[in-house]
Amino acid sequence: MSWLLRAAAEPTLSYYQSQGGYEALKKALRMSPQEVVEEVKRSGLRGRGGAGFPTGMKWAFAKADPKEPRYLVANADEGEPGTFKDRFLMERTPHLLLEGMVIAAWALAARQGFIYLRGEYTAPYRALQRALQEARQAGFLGRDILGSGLDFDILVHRGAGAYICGEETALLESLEGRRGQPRIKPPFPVNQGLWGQPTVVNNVETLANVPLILQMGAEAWSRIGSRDCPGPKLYSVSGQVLRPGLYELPMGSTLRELIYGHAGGLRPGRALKAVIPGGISSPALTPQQLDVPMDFPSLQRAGSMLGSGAVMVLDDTVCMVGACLVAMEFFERQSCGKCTPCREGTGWLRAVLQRLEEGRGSADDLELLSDVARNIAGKSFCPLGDGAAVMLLRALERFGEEFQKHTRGRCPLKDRVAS
Amino acid sequence: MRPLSPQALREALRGLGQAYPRRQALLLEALHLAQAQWGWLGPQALEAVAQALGLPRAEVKGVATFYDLFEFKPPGRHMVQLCSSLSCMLQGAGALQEALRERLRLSPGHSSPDGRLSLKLTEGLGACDRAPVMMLDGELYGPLAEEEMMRLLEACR
Ligand SMILES: Cc1cc2nc3c(=O)[nH]c(=O)nc-3n(C[C@H](O)[C@H](O)[C@H](O)COP(=O)(O)O)c2cc1C
Repeated sequence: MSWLLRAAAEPTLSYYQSQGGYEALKKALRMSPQEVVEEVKRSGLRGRGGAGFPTGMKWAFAKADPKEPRYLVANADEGEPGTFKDRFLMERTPHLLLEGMVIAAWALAARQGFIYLRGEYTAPYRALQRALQEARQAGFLGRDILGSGLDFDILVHRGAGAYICGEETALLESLEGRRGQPRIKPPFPVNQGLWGQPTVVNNVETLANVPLILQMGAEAWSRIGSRDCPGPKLYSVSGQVLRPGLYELPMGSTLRELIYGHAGGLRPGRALKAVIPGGISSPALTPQQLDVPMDFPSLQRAGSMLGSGAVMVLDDTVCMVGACLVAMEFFERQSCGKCTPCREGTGWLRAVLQRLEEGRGSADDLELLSDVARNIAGKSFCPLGDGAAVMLLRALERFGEEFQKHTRGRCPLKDRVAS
Repeated sequence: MRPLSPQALREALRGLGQAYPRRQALLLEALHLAQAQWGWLGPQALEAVAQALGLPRAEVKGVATFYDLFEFKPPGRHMVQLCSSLSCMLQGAGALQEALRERLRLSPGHSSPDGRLSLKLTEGLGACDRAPVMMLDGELYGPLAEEEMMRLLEACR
């Protein structure tokens, strides 16, 4: 099965076109911009960056704002630990992203697009620069694209190492040349984004689905995947499985299928302890929850979230306290410092987790952890703090016994997380 | 190394300028270029960037220090970025950190005593399927075993 990865064998324009590339753009340019928005709405595409917001609706909001110019931004920051799908897309099939962006620009009447690229992504940077040059030469970017009257070009804007810059308003700050701290919402970027202008921010994988929708037609595209959350989905699988990798499956495939059917299952003699289904900010699930469909609504009902679709598999050699400690160290380092609950709270949580892990904790520490976490959840300025608090609260609920054990002595593992 | 003058920086940024309505948007790219030139962002580099973009130096410094990839002291000749995310820690990145400390006296945020290597722990390199991963001077290696890592680093002069 391959949709997004259909032309991933080679990154060149000639190969992409040999697989039907840029035909969707030609089709879109024969439609009116409004018809393109309607088609994307009809498909039911939901944003793949983490929040699952309906893409067609986002575009319609931006279009409804009369201010000009409008901007289009591809969020290629891909900072969520465990995630490597956007990197794969940009390195292996960069024209799919570019084609999606040109179609979006037509729909939105945007003249300038940006790809906000994670600073560590050196190979994708080179791949994108090459693809942009090819697309300009072929007339898919630049002035009067394919005779449509659309003028549109794309600039790659390199980030410089800051997880928070994946959050869309922090990203906009960073793109404008400032510290990447989130903005208050509302106003939303669709009304006041870059330099106060209407701006659509979409994840790379979201935009990569747009050519598919146009080419297949919204109805056919939406027959892939879950009925209320359709389309193909790229799942990044890492951790303790035999075949970690990127798997493209219909949205709503189960964790069981993914882990045992595709990723080769666990190492011999190991048993499953936990699965983190959507990147480090998504609460871990237990082995009893393996039949949950991997889509936005189903994972929410299961007390977690799809997030970026980054599945991390933890076997029975893993210490959950150690795993939470690694996660919390990350949140503490990457908290942007803007709001007190997140800036101070993540540091407290890390310190308490650390003493538990080192056998210096006490029975009161578990109460303290949930108290501090509850004072971050719902009180932080942006979802970074919430993510940190909720993943820990759920771990305390679901893996409480292991935390209890740590109040009575040192963790038996030599390495911090796994053996 | 020949220092990058504000004029040369402005020249290097000229092609990008039209996409942005405000000059400050060029700041991250200017810092990347300056760091590529000098290897780190010392007072001289920050001053050149501030002048090239017509921004206050405090603003330039304030922005630069927000981001993990910028260096504010001279790094070793080779940059080692070892991933410390959970995916890599699950696959033994902790032991690699330990090996660097014990065998090369290399600790996160510092350079080796001989000035050859600098170590930075990163939050992820987008290659979690190849865990544990390391980036050495911009090239990715993984899945990485301890002896292979040592061999790669010994080869850095
Ligand atoms: C802390 C934090 C980090 C985020 N990181 C990313 C990211 O790396 N890539 C991404 O596309 N979205 C990220 N998001 C989600 C964006 O804010 C935004 O919802 C998304 O880019 C919208 O695109 P979509 O509608 O296509 O999903 C992050 C959100 C938060 C709160």
